[in-house]
Amino acid sequence: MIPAGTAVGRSVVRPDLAAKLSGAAVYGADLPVAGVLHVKLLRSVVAHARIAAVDPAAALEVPGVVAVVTAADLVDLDATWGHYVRDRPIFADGVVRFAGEIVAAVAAETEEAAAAAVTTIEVEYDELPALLDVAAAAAPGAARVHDRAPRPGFACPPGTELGMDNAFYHHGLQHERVAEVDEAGAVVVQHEYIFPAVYQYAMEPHVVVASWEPDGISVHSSCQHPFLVRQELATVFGLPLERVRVRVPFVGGGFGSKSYTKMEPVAVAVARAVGRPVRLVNRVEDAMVTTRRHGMRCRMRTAVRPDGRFVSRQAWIWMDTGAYADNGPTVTMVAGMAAVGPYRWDRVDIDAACVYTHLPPSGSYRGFGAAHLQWVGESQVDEVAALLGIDRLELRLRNLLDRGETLIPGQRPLDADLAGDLREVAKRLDWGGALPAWRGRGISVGVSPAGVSARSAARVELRPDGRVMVLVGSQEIGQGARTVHAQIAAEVLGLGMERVVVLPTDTDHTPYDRSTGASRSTTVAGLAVQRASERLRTALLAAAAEHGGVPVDELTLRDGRISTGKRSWDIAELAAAGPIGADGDASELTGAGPALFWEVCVAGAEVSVDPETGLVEVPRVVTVADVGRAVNPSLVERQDEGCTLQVIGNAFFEEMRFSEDGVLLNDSLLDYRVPTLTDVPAEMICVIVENGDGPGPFGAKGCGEGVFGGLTAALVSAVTDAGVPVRELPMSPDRVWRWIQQTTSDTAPG
Amino acid sequence: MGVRLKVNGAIHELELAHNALLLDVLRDRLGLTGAKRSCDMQVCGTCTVLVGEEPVSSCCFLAHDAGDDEVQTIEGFAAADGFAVVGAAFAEHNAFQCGYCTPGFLMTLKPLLARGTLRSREDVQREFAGNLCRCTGYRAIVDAICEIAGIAPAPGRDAAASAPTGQQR
Amino acid sequence: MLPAFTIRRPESIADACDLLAEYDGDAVAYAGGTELVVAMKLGLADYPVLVDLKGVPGLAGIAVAGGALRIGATATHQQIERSSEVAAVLPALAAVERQVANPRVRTSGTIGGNLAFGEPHSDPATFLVATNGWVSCQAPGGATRTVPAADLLAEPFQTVLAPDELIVGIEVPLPPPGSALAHRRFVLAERPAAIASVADAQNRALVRGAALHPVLADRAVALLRLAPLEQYVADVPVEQVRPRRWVEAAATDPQLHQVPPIVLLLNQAQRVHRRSALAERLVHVRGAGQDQPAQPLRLLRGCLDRHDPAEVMAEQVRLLQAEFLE
Repeated sequence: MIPAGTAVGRSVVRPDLAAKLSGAAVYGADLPVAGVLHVKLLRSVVAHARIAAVDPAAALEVPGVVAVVTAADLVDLDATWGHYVRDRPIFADGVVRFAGEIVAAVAAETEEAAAAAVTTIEVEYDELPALLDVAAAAAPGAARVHDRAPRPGFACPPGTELGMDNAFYHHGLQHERVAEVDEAGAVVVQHEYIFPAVYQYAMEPHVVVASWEPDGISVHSSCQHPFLVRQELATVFGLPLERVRVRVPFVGGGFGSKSYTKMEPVAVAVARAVGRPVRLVNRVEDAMVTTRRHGMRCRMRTAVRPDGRFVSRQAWIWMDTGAYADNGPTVTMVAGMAAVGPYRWDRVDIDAACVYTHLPPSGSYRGFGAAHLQWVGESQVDEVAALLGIDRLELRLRNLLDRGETLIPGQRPLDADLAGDLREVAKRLDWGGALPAWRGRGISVGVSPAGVSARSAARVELRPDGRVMVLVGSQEIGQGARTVHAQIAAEVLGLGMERVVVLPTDTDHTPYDRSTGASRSTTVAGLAVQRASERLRTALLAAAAEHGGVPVDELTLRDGRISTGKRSWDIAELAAAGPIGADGDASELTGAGPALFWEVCVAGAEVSVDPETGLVEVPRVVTVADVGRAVNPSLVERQDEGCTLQVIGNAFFEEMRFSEDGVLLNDSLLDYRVPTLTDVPAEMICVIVENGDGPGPFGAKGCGEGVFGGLTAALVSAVTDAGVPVRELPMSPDRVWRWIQQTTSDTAPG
Repeated sequence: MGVRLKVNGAIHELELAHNALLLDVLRDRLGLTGAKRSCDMQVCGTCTVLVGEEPVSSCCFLAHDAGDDEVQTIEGFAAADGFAVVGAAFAEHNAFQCGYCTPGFLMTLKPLLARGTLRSREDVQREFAGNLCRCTGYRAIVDAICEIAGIAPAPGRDAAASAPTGQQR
Repeated sequence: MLPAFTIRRPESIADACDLLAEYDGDAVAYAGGTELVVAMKLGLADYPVLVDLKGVPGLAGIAVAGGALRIGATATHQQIERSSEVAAVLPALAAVERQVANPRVRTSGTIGGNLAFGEPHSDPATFLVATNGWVSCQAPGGATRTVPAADLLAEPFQTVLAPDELIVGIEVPLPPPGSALAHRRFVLAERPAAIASVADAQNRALVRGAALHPVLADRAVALLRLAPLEQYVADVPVEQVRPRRWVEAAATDPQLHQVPPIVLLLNQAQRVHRRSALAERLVHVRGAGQDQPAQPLRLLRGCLDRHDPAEVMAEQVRLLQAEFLE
């Protein structure tokens, strides 16, 4: 265990405690905005249709309505957005591609007037056949969801191939370790797998306050990536970056649902039309058709020699990205990588496809890619273990990569001790002990590319009042990023936490940070904070040395005071004449993404299946947070526990259900069940592993997402161990019950 | 229609449409934005306020139905004397993340503390099963509430539960 | 946001009925509004006039009289849950009420409102059916009638009450000496998913869903509303109404995995709901070691003599398991 510093390594109390507990924290819907107009959206009720006519006349007659905005009002703009593929019109333009697509917006003095007016807008749809699953959409000759060639978005990596088919993006991984791959005598398993569409459900739905001023766009948004939103808005509305300002209030959860751009373009378009500030607040039914998790189909094949040595892994993956790409290609790429697993294979052959369908768009959700595929690959490893009569843990350890070995050619080598992590889990599951019937244990090991981009800068400033302001562009969405950054600055500067303030983001003043996601806030943005703090420390010591006529190396900095043997100054004195600041960044992190480090996805679980109802209880969960250095151990634990509950939902009962016409059926919390505290496992064991092997500050590397890949897989493994083979999620009681009947009848005599 | 609302000890004379929802009145007319809107269907609990000392989903509660009963929101609770112990327990157990659900949990807690009905961890689990949280995984919230209510911690959960156990390599 | 309406506050039951009559379908009675407000938000209900029953005398109140528990329509779930009268004579009802929705709904929601909304798998309504409870109603002009709980629904979400008729209270016959009542709940979702409106096809799926999970976990039992089942039983020749057939049909139905397992019924040992052929099937159990089926009432009464309610339940589980998995 690495000893705690003065701030780093301690489970310090979060500075946002008082604001959040007292109700004083201002979230987007709480912002007082004088004269704001309320925006309500008219959404398509059909999945695929030409828009024959839109008639807003009746809506304009509703008292209090100021404007109705449609695609017709944006003809002077290239009114399409999308950071990876620029494919998403602000308003449906001549065609709707999913049920829920935005057709028109009403701005009114009251929410009531706007809502009433929306219902009076007449739209004539000429319905067209809709492609509602990836198999249909990816089939040869299927009608195209998009007629024109895909346009790369501003964040599309140069050289990315985007095709014309519905399967417009492929990520292939083909490599061979040996000259001749020999599958003679190998055990081969091959199956098809299904993963559902689920909804992130951040409890605060998306909210945007937008205004269009003569000097530019101003937006307050509950967004995770304000700098990317700024860039998107500048691109779409044809403005230089400096004339777009994005600020972020308190955010009520994100999990990826508020990543990249979501509701900002339509809010800005309305503000532009009315010349007054507008507020657009999603309801849950809006949010669910704004973004969701990709559903997936997969066929996977694994071949293993009789001695237990892995030979080949092949996978064909189809990700349902819905009608617009959002972050689909990135999700697809990571899914392809997750299909490989952290093992030595003689041959790997993966093709992951990102597929358009006439369903609501899919985007980022915690642990994407690994959540989708780790359980698939790991369940094949389990199946092979059973066929060969080798213990599941043993089989994995025999084939697991060591630190330093290549995971995927061209990518950073493995930078974690996965075998050690796996053994920790097995120990805490009492691996090898006997279990009664219908109880099972599962473990899983995987990694996922994290960090994504080294582009992050920070500034720290000592103010005359003696406090240090930290400006860094990570967003506090609940995960504690702001706390961690304060701890890093406090540690380097020898300050108490009460003297460090991390300011909310304003793209006019905050240094650039690419994004809050991919577990990079501690590792990458935190590194920028560390470097800036170190430079400030150096500057303060130099100033003190000059001020005191003392050599720098005779000075110490602790508890906010600089001391020589005889004298000491509060650092505030150094800033009496004006603030002293310093900048830092994370540019030392080498390698372009996607992996600046590998997030460890290792977990285990014990389950109890009720064969009569199909209900699965989870008495024990073990998660590994292999974080290099835990800046705040309690925050790490909380991330793993929060992710655990989301996994339980995704694995056992969450699924978005669409009618045969492509309409979302369970679009409210009455019908889309999320975990309650009755779903908490009796034991949640979070193992924090500190090997000091992260590229971030103090040897840290990020966390928060690994559990989605690791625990989903471990739960599938455990349910299978309990006697129920699993090829589809969620493992809802009706499915589990039916699989038990099938297994029973499969094995019944006669 | 005129209505006289008592909120956090203050009296407000308001002209309200009959269909005014208590949540909107509190947030938009009285500036008390601590109560939140999430599911809008009484499921999640983020809009919980007290009417006559009992919790209601203010998103589905007609403002005109408050009548003479006192309405209490998180702003009132947080300003009260007894709140310090609540804040301390939530701090110690790190029982929040994004904070959006927190006022709802706390307003649900207030009358239970007053009535002294939380005597076991099972009581806590039953009484808060109707409050959703998507961030924390719930365990820390239950621990914090147990501490506030004077309930002994769950067996097997020791103070060092989140202490790192790394091996330096 | 809600559609516009006016709230009227009558001061007597008669005035309330008259208001409903006056507005002829444009007015609806409410107390807590926990169902009505949600329905209005979803666009499923729109009434220009809301008739507030909360202040009306004679509609609240919980009392034991004449061998029955009488509860006024505007008694909230919370009041019933905490009532000392209910605790004394019918603690199983308090247990049911304690599990309605969540504490916030229980603060405002009333037993009358719950029944009037006609949700087919309402727990309190189902309990009333299982206990042969009654619903008392009053119409304009003072006409009163009682409706057996089992007959309250014309169809899901539609009671047999006239638009100007009010539920004024419920009555539950107290279990006679030597009998007992137990209830436990098993539910996965607030409502069955994939059902936006209730229609025949979906209810049929509910029924089949019940068949998919015919067996009770010994810690998870629910009461199933029998009346709607009867409608679908009526559509199918009785000899075809066999759980086994439904299970087989369910296994091939791709939509069925969407149906939550709201299951199954019957824990009023003494009073068996006889009107449903299905109910008779379900209780048509085999006595151990006998060649012919035992009469359900006798067998269950026999169980009662020997066991406490929890064991009665467990015994029923075993017997029903035998029936369903034969």
